Amino acid sequence: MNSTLIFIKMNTTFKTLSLLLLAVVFVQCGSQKNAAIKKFPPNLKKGDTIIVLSPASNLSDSTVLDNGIQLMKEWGLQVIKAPHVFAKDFTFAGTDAQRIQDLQMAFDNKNVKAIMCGRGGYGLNRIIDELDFTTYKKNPKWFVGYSDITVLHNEFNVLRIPSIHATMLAAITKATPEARNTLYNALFGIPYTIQTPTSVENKLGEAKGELVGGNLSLIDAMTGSKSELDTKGKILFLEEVDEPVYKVDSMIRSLMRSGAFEGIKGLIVGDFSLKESKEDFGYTYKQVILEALKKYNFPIYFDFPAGHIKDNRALIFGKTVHLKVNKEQSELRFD
Amino acid sequence: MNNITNHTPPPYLKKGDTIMIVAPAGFLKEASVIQSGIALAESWGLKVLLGKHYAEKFNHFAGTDEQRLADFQEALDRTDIKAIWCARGGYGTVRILDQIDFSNFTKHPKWIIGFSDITALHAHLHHLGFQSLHATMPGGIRTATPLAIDTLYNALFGNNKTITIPTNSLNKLGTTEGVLIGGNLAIIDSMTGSISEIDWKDKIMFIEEIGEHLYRVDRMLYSLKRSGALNQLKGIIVGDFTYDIETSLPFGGTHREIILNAVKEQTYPVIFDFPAGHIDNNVALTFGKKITIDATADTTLINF
Repeated sequence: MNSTLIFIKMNTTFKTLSLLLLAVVFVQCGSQKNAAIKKFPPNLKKGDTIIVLSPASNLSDSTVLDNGIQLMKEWGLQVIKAPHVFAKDFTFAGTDAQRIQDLQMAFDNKNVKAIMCGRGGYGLNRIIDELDFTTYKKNPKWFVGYSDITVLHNEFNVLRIPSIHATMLAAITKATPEARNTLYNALFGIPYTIQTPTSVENKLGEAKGELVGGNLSLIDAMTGSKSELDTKGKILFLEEVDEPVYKVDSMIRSLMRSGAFEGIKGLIVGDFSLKESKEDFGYTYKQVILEALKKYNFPIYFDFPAGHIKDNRALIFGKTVHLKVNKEQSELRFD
Repeated sequence: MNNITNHTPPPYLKKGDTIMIVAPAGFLKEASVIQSGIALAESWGLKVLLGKHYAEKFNHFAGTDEQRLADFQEALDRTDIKAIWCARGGYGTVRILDQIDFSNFTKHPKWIIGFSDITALHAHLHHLGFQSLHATMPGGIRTATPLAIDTLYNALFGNNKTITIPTNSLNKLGTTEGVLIGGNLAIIDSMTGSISEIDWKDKIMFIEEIGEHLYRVDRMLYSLKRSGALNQLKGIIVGDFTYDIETSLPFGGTHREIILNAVKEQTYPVIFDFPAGHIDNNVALTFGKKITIDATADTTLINF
């Protein structure tokens, strides 16, 4: 606004020049978070090596990954365990420094073709700014996780690196066959479609756009930081666990007030396993979302099978997806 | 460049002035809980009006968004009302914040009093350039300490005094000066990126919290750090933090160690255990006002 006022006082040549400069600056700012993704991580193939690490909370004991590692072997993959995957430092899987060391090694080691998290919990927010993405950006690989891993997914999206929102290794053998199969397809580059009966609350419509998102609390926590998502023109996925409905209301409004829903093409609402609050809020989380976003026209797909549930289907963030929310069936297609 | 200036103070109250109690967030369990608040204000020579819907109940809220907004807007626009005392917090202020028209208020500012969920209003008023009062609400007067009541009176009637508190051994000592602003940590954090976001440059940040797990406190502090708030401050005053340490994820410390870790690169004073927040001894704090802190090994002086 202020620059407009300044321009009035400038001579024409200088004004034109400044406007041009300003336009260049705008294009460059926009390009960082919103340019088309040029480089996708290579699809996995049999014989590839992947690493499992714990970037947030600790794993309860060293046996919890056995079944997951066995499954990865069945998929033809070799699994290495990061040095601190079972480390413990209070709630964390090792100190901040140990978790940074494991992540950095996994990013930079050329022999590692994909990175899988053992579990989420809490802790990525503390170390995200200490990570060096230089090598990883040049040679991206698939990174798999959700919940607290949303911090990395958002940072990756800002850096224009695709990543996979999916079940983690400690829970993968308890997941549904669909959850496991979609992860396999995402990792090995096989197109897949997720289809469910349409919920009565859904807002119908179709959209095509880049998929982004993750855990609502963490997306909200990224606001104002360098990892804040640019959601414009994209399809946003949200899931939540263990929060009372009033907090969901507060976070949705907080995201709305920061402009996160301006210009998005669609909203996919995964599982919301919420906590009872002392006072009855009076609205369900679906009503909260519909009411807060009533001024927007984009399609909304409720009860999408992803989040803190066994049927946690894989989502490829950074990929252009096709969203259809029809009267009978709703679907999300990854070509 | 470094002139730290007060935000605009609304006119201080005087005997005979009228104030209005409104409920912009959660409902009152019983209308009678604000009786002690009304009696107190009347004992100060104030006339007390009640918002039309102050005792309303709609789900979690003191009336629908429209009703709460209508009450608040009326209290804001009426020139005979000299202060707005929020009945209680809870949750709901942010749902009506963007619909409030502050154009009459900016011409005829008045004191807006409350805390907790009312932090959303404090942030917005700070953004607009006005002082406001973080203090006990009518529903809390019955159990409030004499100090909570005296500081509320002094702040409203323009007679702020220096507050001296014992020094916590974890305090980061020093002297500093800055404009005081803050409130409930979760609400402050939720304002980031919005039109009500606080400009933290040269501010002294006050924070209090209730019922949040320690990992969430840690996450919110890292959010404030990552959004650039913490390195612009002149100091931090930490009020009451109430949480169940048993059910929290183990962190190897309390909220105090979490806060110290988040500001480990900073050199400004950090004062713990200031008596303000969800406690009976909720000392009134004038937001938007320049204060000085003198934190020594023995006592901490906060001068308004």
